[in-house]
Amino acid sequence: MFQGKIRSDFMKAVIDATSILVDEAKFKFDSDGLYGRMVDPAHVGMIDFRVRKEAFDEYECEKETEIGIDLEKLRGILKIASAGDIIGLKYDKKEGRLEVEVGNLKRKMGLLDTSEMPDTKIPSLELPAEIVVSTAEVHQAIRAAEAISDHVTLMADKESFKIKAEGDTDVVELILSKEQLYSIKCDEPVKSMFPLDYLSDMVKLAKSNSEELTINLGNDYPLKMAFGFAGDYIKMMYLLAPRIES
Amino acid sequence: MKVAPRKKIGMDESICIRCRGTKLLCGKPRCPILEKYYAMERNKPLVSKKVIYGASPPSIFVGRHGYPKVSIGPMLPPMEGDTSYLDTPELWHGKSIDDIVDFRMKLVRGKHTVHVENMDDRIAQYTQEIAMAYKPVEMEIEFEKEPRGKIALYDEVQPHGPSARIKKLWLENPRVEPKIEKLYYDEVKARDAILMLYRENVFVSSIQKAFSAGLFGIRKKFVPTRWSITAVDDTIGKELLKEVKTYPWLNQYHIYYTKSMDNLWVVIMYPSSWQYELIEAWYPNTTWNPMGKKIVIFGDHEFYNGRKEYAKIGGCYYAARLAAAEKLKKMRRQAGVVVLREIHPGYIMPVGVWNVRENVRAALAVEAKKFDTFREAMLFVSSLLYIPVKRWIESSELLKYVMRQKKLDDFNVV
Repeated sequence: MFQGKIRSDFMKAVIDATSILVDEAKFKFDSDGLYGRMVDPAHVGMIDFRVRKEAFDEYECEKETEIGIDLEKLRGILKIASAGDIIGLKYDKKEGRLEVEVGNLKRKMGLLDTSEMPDTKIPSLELPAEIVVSTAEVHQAIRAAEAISDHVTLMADKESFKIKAEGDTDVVELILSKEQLYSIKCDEPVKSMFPLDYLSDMVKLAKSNSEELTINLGNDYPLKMAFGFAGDYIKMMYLLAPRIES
Repeated sequence: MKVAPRKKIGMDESICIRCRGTKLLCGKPRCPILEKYYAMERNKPLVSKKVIYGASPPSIFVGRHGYPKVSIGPMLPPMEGDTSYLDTPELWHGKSIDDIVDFRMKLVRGKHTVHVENMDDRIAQYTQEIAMAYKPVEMEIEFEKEPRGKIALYDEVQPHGPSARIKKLWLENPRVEPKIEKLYYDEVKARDAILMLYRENVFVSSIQKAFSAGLFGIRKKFVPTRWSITAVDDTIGKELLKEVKTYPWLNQYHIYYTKSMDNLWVVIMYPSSWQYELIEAWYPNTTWNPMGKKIVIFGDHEFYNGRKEYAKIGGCYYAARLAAAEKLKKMRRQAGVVVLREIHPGYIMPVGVWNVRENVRAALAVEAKKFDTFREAMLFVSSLLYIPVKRWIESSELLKYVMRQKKLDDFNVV
């Protein structure tokens, strides 16, 4: 069993970040905190998140526990709370339900069977480039790209990071030089193309939680995107598979 | 004025003269000219009169030539009783081309030229009343001349029989559909009216009729039948998709299919945010590929945010999209949808986009074959199709997309 208290907006951010990819999720609790890793039905995007116990106001977990959550349902419950409210979470194996405490209100939620939810393995990726960039800049470029295309190309070299989208007649391009980035580490030029339907949701989510975004890139290779909030005690990482030109 | 079909049905006229329906030199399994003739023969004694008495299903027609001055008027068959099926495409699935031609030919189109906004005109008012009816309306039309006798074929509108200018028109008091009547008097916006009626399970074809007759909105005006069909399909489809886009993705590959009127329909649904494509493959000697020696493939698609330009392939795009959106809404899922249509040589004349809407609906009404991978799904699809699946993929923007999009599993081993 475990029980803890946490700010409702932290929990909501975790639910929102996860429901970009899946509607049912397996959450694990252990002595360090809450974590989860899910891949979407098309196996194009993956989320890996960790909410360390320090992000909780109170946290207690005797032994590793996993529960299956209907994300839409939990999101509905969290709506009862206002941002900044502290909510209580409690799970007891005997009870078999997740108890959410909002103020004096106790809401017990039925859970999903996790035996049908396989553990997601994280692919071992070699991503030669690492860029730390302003989330707002990336968000703006992605929004502009969405208007003209369904995919976008991310490129990096020693000196710069680039986002480019091409429509039938229009082009969107964001070029950020070394000085305009928090940091860049890229020995060889890299370039990969990504589907905007996924990327735009991921970036939107990052933008509402963090000013900085760490991007790892390769050539025709998956993208790794990471950001943290709540004093970095909550960390999220997305993986996104590339599109390959015909 | 008769609206010309997109392409002429015949080709080199001389071959028809040499053939006269015996040798079938045109290559069609049945002679389209005879087809018209036979249907005409059966009706001849009834139609070759200047006055026709019958029950309109109800049915109206609004032409588009000369817009905003167009030919409007009711259509009626020379028969009484329950004629409603004559103008209810929702009831036609499984009917053969022969059946459709046969009963649509019975509908004689009365024509009256009027400005689309002239609602003071008496025949315009009658036409509106007829479009408002939920039961066949008995009427008598006296034409200026005997209705001129051939079938009128259109790409998007269902065919109808002979037509003539209206001289006099008498009709019984139509029994009006109260839902439509209320929207008419309440001056509800056209878009809202369409959606309200759809939610109340009024047939799409009835909504389209009412919309065409200019029963909705504040400034009421007639809308050519052809435009009204697509406008209604598009409006309802878009609205349903708003809801569909809030649902989680489908988590498997679903394949649906059906055959009708020598058309093969295959619907592929795959895990994705909403995206949609309709591709048609016209065999040589089908309606719109009468002279061709090769199969011609045409398609149009949209991604999540829809399309800005009107689909090149026309109203059928919106008709199939409506059917797909209805299904996804019912499943409470969002998906990528590719509709493949093979038009085999038995499809000798156009029957209207209802054919697309109703057949895709029929295909989707059957339990899907479900697969875990794209490969398995496409293997099954290739067993259904006559045209090699490779050629379909080459012609499909979305199937190519699905194939180009890598999966994370592809990178597991480094």
